[in-house]
Amino acid sequence: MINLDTLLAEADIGFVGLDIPLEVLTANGRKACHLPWDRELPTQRADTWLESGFAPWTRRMLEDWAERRFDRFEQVVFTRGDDNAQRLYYYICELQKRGEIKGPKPVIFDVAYIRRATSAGRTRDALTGLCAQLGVRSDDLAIAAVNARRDVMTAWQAGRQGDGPFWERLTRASLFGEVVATPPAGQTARRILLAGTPPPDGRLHDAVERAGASIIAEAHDRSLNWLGPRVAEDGDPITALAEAILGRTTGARTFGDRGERLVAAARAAHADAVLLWLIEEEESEVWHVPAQRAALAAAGIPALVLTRRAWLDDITGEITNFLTERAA
Amino acid sequence: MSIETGPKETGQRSRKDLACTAVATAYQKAFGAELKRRVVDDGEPFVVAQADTPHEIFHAMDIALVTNQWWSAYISAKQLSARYFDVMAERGYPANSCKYCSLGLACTLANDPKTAPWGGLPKPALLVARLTCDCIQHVFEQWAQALGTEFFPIEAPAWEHKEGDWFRHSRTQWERVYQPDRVQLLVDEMADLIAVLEQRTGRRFDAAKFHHLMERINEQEGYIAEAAEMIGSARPCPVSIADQMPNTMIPQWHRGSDWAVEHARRFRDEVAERVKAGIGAAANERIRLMWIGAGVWHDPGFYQALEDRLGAVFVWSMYMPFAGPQYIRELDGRDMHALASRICSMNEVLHLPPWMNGWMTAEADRCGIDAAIVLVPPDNRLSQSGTRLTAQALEQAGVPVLALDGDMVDAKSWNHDRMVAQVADFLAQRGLIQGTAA
Repeated sequence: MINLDTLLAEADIGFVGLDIPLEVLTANGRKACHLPWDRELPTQRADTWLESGFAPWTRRMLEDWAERRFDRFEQVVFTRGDDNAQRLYYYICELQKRGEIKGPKPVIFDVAYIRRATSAGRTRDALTGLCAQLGVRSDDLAIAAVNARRDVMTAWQAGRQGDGPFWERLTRASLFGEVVATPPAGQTARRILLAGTPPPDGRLHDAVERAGASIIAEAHDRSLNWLGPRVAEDGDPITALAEAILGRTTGARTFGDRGERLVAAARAAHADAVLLWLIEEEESEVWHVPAQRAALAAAGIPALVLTRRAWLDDITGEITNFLTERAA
Repeated sequence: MSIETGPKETGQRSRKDLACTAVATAYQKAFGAELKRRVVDDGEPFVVAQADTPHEIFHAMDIALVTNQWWSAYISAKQLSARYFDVMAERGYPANSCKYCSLGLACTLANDPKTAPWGGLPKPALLVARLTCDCIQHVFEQWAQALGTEFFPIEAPAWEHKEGDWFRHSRTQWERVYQPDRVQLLVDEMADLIAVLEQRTGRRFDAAKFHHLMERINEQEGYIAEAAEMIGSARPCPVSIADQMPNTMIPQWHRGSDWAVEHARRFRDEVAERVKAGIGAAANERIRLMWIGAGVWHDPGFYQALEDRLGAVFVWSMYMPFAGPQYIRELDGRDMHALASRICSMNEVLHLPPWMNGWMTAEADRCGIDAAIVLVPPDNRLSQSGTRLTAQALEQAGVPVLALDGDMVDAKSWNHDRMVAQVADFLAQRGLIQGTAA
């Protein structure tokens, strides 16, 4: 589907966090690439800097940074909308100052999610500041182009019927560059919604497939809807972009009833069951597990809830048992 | 940030040497009773807020304040924390969810008025927290919902202007140090907060009273800063950590009040007397230690066990030396902005590079520290944050560092004897003592 190293070699700017607007990052024809976490290598250097509470993907990114995998970027933008990402920003700044690592200039996108005018203003200021740091004028924002990408991905999600591993790969690939794909044919008999922590790769989707079902949607950050709501193409572009960002419903810092939201997502996906999977280092979604479990039960939607899991978890046995019990 | 010194769940009690320590703890006990009278018996409007929020606003409006960390310590002192954590588990919260800020929520969810302190909290006018991590907004949202009230979150904006020696300039150049737009954001948020409080409590914000409070806080923190200077430079260390913490933190909860200012002065004077008389916290001071992290509230005797056995004295913990650089502000007729500069990075300077390591390395040098002990809670990214980079900076500066895995409020993973032995072994390995405590 993609060659990650090729995309890295072609990209101009890196980013960490899915609420950083591609409209800014890809303005003026720039190519943007989320920092990958793909390499299953020891993270010896990163482990000396990062404490145990950091999510595993931060270790791989920092190790790769230290090994100069991202040196071709001039800048890498980190979001404040995720605690792992924002702390990584400060650590990288410090490590560069100490001369321990080199690489691109870290930049922070200071998104503010509180539902008050002061925070909306802060987000607008953050967008203006990001544009200034990247040399982008508000008229140059790639709003129409990114909306077109959104539309394609929304259509893909609407037509998604099975083959979870394909869609997982496609979604993940879309973080690193523009992707084209021919959706697979076929339809699953058992539709599963995945929620909680975004997994490292397709291992959860593969496990569900092996158990005779398919993940047909994701209710976490890294879904086919990761670009967020459409951005209005008329009016002030910064205001429009800020409104779209603050309209996001996934992410550690967003507000709202996540129990109701999960039930709504399950219904929208016509899911037969929900797989709620959270890793040990998860610090936000974990607070909603009781409400989500209760909301799903009230809605009559079966759920397999797996908390405190290792990032490289193998759930084959549990998902098989869960689906077997449901089928009985 | 506990202030309770009553019976703890596990571990051993600490010895208090200063007369003013008993005064402070007695005041706090009376304050607890008075707060209960106001909030429970008289039904006054009150606020539940995190420690790193602008308490000055509540004080200036004469709104009763239950600080989350104080309430947690109060619950712990009643030996109820283990039970409430079990309630959280029974309700389906994973056992690794952050415990430091959620004990109050757990108490409310347990909904057991017969055993809860005060019979449980009545409905507050508002809950207030700065969003310094990924979990606090979720804890406070759910707590507000359970209490039937509103949550007023405050942003913890990104900090791009980085001065590792912030503590040298923060009194006078606070707008530059803390970044003007960050300061202004909090000023704007505090204006919103005041409006909400006025609407929900009927109390009015009095600018003159607030100004007086800010001036008195500067006076109070000046006394504490003087005490910190003396404790850092005196040989032997005149005051143990068991006396440093309550004499800093209890007045800090009441900052700017007549009692708090007077108590800070009394503490400073008592420290000065001990320095003049050459009295040491330990009978035989051999090693000067730095404690990085929150206090081990469930085992206050941990620190003095090391003093008694090894002559290893905890000269430094963050609470007291923090008073000078993070609280004192030249007001310059801009009281709200000065307050915002105090609050807008209260957590960040203690947990993020370059501020954390810059300050602590300088403090280790100022205090003649021989070794540092860092508390690293297992389930709390925020509390862990910055500890490794700070440890490396200290080692680079010639200060050996031991990381202790343990939680400040959850005693389950803590064993007094094992922890004391671990520190002793570390000090022996690094050539600071001979043999071990085992």
